Amino acid sequence: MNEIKNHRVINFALSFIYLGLVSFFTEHLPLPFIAMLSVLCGWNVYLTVKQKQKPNAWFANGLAAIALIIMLSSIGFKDTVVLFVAMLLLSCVFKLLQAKSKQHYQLIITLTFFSLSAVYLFSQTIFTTLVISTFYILNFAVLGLLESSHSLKLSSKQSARIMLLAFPLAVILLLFLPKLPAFWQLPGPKMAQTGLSEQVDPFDIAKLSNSDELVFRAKFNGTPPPTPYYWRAIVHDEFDGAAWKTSSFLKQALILPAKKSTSENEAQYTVIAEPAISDWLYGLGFSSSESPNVIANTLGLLRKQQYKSKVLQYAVNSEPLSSTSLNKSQQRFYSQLTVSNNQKSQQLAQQLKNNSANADEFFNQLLSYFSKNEFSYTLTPTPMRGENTLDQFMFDNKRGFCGHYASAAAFIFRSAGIPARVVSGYLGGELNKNSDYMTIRQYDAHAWVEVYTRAGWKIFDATAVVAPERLNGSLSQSTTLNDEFKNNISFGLVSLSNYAAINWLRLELENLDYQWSSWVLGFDKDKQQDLFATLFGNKFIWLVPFGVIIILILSFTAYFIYLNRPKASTKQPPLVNEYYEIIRWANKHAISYPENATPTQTLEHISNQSPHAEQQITAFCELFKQVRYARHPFTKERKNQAKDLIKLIKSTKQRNL
Amino acid sequence: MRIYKFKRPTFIDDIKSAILTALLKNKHKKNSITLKHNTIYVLPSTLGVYFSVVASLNFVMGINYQNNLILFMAYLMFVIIIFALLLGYSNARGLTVSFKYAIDSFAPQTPQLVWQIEADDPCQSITLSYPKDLKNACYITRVKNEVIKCQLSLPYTKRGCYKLKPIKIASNYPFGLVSVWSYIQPNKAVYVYPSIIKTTNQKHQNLVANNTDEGTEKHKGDDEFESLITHLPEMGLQRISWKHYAKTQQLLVKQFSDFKSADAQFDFNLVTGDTEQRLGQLCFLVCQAFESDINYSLKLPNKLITTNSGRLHHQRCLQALSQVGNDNE
Repeated sequence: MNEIKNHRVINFALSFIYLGLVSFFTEHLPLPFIAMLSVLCGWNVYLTVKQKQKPNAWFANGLAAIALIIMLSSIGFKDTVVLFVAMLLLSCVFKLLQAKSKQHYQLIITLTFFSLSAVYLFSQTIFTTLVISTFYILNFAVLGLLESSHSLKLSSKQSARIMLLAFPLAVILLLFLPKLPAFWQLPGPKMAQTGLSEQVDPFDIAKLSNSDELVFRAKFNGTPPPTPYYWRAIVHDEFDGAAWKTSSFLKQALILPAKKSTSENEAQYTVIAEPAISDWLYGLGFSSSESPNVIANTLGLLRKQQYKSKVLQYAVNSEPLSSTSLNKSQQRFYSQLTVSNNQKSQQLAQQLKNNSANADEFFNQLLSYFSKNEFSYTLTPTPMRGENTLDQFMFDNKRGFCGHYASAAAFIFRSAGIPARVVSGYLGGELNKNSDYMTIRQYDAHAWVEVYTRAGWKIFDATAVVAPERLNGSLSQSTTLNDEFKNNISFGLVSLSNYAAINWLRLELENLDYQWSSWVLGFDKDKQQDLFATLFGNKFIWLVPFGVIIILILSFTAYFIYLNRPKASTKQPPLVNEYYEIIRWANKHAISYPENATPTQTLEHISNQSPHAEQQITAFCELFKQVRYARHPFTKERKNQAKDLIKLIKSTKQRNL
Repeated sequence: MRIYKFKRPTFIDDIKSAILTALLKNKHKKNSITLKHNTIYVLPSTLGVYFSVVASLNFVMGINYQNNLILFMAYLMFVIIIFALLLGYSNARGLTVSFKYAIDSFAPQTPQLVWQIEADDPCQSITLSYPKDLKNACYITRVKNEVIKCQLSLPYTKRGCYKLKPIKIASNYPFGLVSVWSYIQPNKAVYVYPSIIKTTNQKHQNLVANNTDEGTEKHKGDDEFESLITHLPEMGLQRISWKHYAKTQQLLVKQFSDFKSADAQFDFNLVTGDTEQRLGQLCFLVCQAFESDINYSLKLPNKLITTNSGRLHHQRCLQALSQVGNDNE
C-alpha cells in the first residue's frame, strides 16, 4: 500500500513529538532557533487542521536555507554536539513540513528514533525518561499507522504492547551484556549551569540566587567522618585586587598517580555527580580516586577525564588536608600578593601579626576578630565597587556571604605572609535517613580559606563564627537563615519544606532520584562486575554472555510459539459446550447414538439407553430446547441448572457402575 | 518486429528469474497456495534496515557516552526488530490465496485476475502484486474467518498472449519493518485481444447478408411461425392458441422459429489496413457474429478456425486473434 490513510493523525502526532523534543532543548539551544522550530511545527499543525497543501519543494528548500543560516549564526560551530542535535531537529522538522509520500514519513519516523535518544545526552532524569518513552511508543504507533488504517488509539495500544514485551529483554541485555568501552572519543555536550566559578568575586553581587539543583550525592562506606563536610572543588590562589582566581600554574597541577594508602584517618565514600559543564569533581580533604574517568591532582582535587554530559559515579579516598606539606618555594607561592590596595585590611593584618607569635595564633585572632566585630551573614549583600572592596566589606559593610569572608580572610592571611588560598566547593549537604546518603545541592555552594600553618593546611572559615549553624547540615536545614534562604530560592519543593507532608514527598522523590542515578544511570562496568559476582560468583562469569544468548533465544522461541499457537475455538452459543459434555460422557460409557441426528434426537437416544440418568437428560433436553429453540434468555439460573444436571448425570452413571 | 537495443536489465532479470525458479522448485506453481514455513520468506524491509541502522547508531552513541538510557533504547530497537520478524511470519502463516479465473481484455484495457483470499487466524496488510507493477497492487487490510475476493489487473495493454509470471503475496506487517512474502504462479496465460475497430467491410457484410437470405437451418426462436404442436401440461395456459381451440377444440401451441443464419467466413486477407487494424476489424466482426449468434470461421495467416458458434468458439477465435504474430505460442 503506497498511499497513507491517516495523513492528519500522523502529522499531528509527529508535530507533537517534535514540539515536545524542542521543549527539552530550550536550555541548550539558543532561543531564536527554538522559536523557529516551534513555529515550523505549529505551521505544520495549522496546515493539517486547515487541510491545506504543504509548501512546494522550492519554497520549502529556500526556507530551509534561511533556517540553516539562522541556526549556524545562533549556534556557531563551537559545540559540535549541540550543532549536530540542532541539525537533526531542523532537518526532521523541515522534512515533516514537506512530507507527502509514505517514504518521506518513514524517513522522518526513523530519524525520530535517533532524535529521541539525543535528548538523553542532555537530560537523564526520571521525568525525561518517562516523557521520551511515551514519545517512543507514540512514534512506533505512527509507524504502524503508515501501514494500516487503524485509529491512533489502537495503533498506540499495539505499539505499547510490543514495547512492553520487548522491555524485559532489553533490560536483560542492558544488565548482562558485557559493557563495552567507548569506541572513540566523542565531544560531549556542554552544559549551561553551574554553581561554582573559577573566579571568586562576590562584591558586585546584590543577590545570591540560589538554585535547588542537585550537584552530587555522596554515600559513605561505613561510619561517616565527623562534620563539617567541606567538599573541595576549586582552589583559587591568585588575587588580582578584586577577585580570587585560579592561576594558570595551578590549573596545570600535576596528576597524582593513583596510590593505595590505607591510613586510619582515611574516609571512603562514593560520589554520584550530576552532569555539568565543568570538569571539577568533589571530595573531602585531600582526595584521591581509583575510578576510571577521574583524575586526582596534587592539590587533592578531583577532575573529570571525559563524559561531561553524563552522571558520573566514582569512589573517593580522602585523607585529612594536614597530611600534605609544602616546601619553601610553595610556601612563598601561596603567600604572594601582587597588589597593594585595601590598605586598611593590610594594616589589620600587620596589627594581628604583631599580636601573635605564630600562624596558629594569627588564625585564632582573625577568627575572634570576625566574631567580635558584628559581622553578619546574608544572602543579599550590598554591592561594593571601587578599588578597595575588601576594605569596604571589612570595615564599613560587614555583611556578606561566604565569598566575602573567604576573599577578605585569604587576603589578610597573605598580607601577614602566611600561605593561604581560597577554596570553593560545597559545604554540608542533606542526609537522607532512608538510604544513608548525602544530597548536595547548588545552594550548598560555599567558599572558605585554607591556611598553611606548622600543622599543615588548615581550614579557616569565618562563616563558622558568623553563622555557626551553616556548618552543620545543609542551608535548607539552618533555622536562622531559613526565611532568607526560602525567599531567595526559586519556588520548588525545597521552599515548601516547612510542611511535613511536602517535605516527606520531597525526600521520597529525592530518594527515588538517588536510586535512579545510582542504579540506572550509574550502572557501569564496575557495578556490572559486582552484580555478576553476587549473582553467579566469580567462577562462572564467563558463562554470562552465553546465558544472555540462551535467554534471548528462549524468549524469542517462546514468543514465536505463542504467536503460532493453535487458536482456541471460537465462543460457542449457550449450552452447546454442555451438550458436548454429555456427548463425551456418553462416548465414555459406550452409549451409542445415531451420527446424523439433531441434538434433541441424540439426547433422547442417550436417555433411553441410560435409565438412571434418564430424568436428568430429559430435563437437560427441555432446557436445551427452551434456550436454543424457544429463545428463552440464557440466565444465570438456567446456566446453573444445566451445570447441576450435568453433574447429576455424571454421578448417576458412576453409582450405577 | 524487434527493436535491437542493448538492455542490461533484461539480462539481469533473466538471471534473477532463473535463480528464483531454481530456488523455488515449482513450489509456487499452483492455483492455490496456503502459506506455511516452506513457502514464506522473511527479511527486514528497507525501512527495517534503516531502523536497524538507527538502532546501531543509538548503540554506538550509548557506548561512547556510556549512557545507559540510550543503550537501552538501542537494545529495545534490536529486540523489536526481531519481534517484528516473528510477528510478520506469524501474520502471513495460514493465509490461503487461490486463483479463481482470469478476465481477458480488449486492448488497451488490462486483463484481470480474480483471487480468493481466506485465513482462519487474522492476517493483516496483505498485498498481491504482479512483478514490476506495484501501482496496481491489490491491498487487503485484514482477513479473518472470511473469504475475500480481489481483482488484480495486469500491466498488459498490448495485444498478445501472456503467460503469468509469479505473483507476489507480500505483507509489511507489523510497522512496515519486515517484508514477508511468497509467490503464486498459476499455470495459465491471459490474453489481450486486439482493440475493436468498427468495420463496414463490404465483402464480409455481404457474406453475412447473403448467407442469411439463403437460410439453411432453422431452430427454435420467436421470429417466424413454424407449426402447431400439442399442448403439454407444463407449457402453461397462456401459450395455448385459443383461436385454434375455438376451431378444433384441440389444445394447440404455436411453435415459432428463427432462421439460423448462414455461416460467415472471416478472412485476414479480406480486410484492409496493417496487421493491427486488420485484427481489430476481425475482432469486431467476430464479436458481432457472436452477438447475432451466427456460425463463423476465422482464417488467419497461419491458422484456420473452422466454422462453429458459441461462447467457447468465440473465445478461441479471440485468443487466436491476440496470438497472431506471436512466436512464443
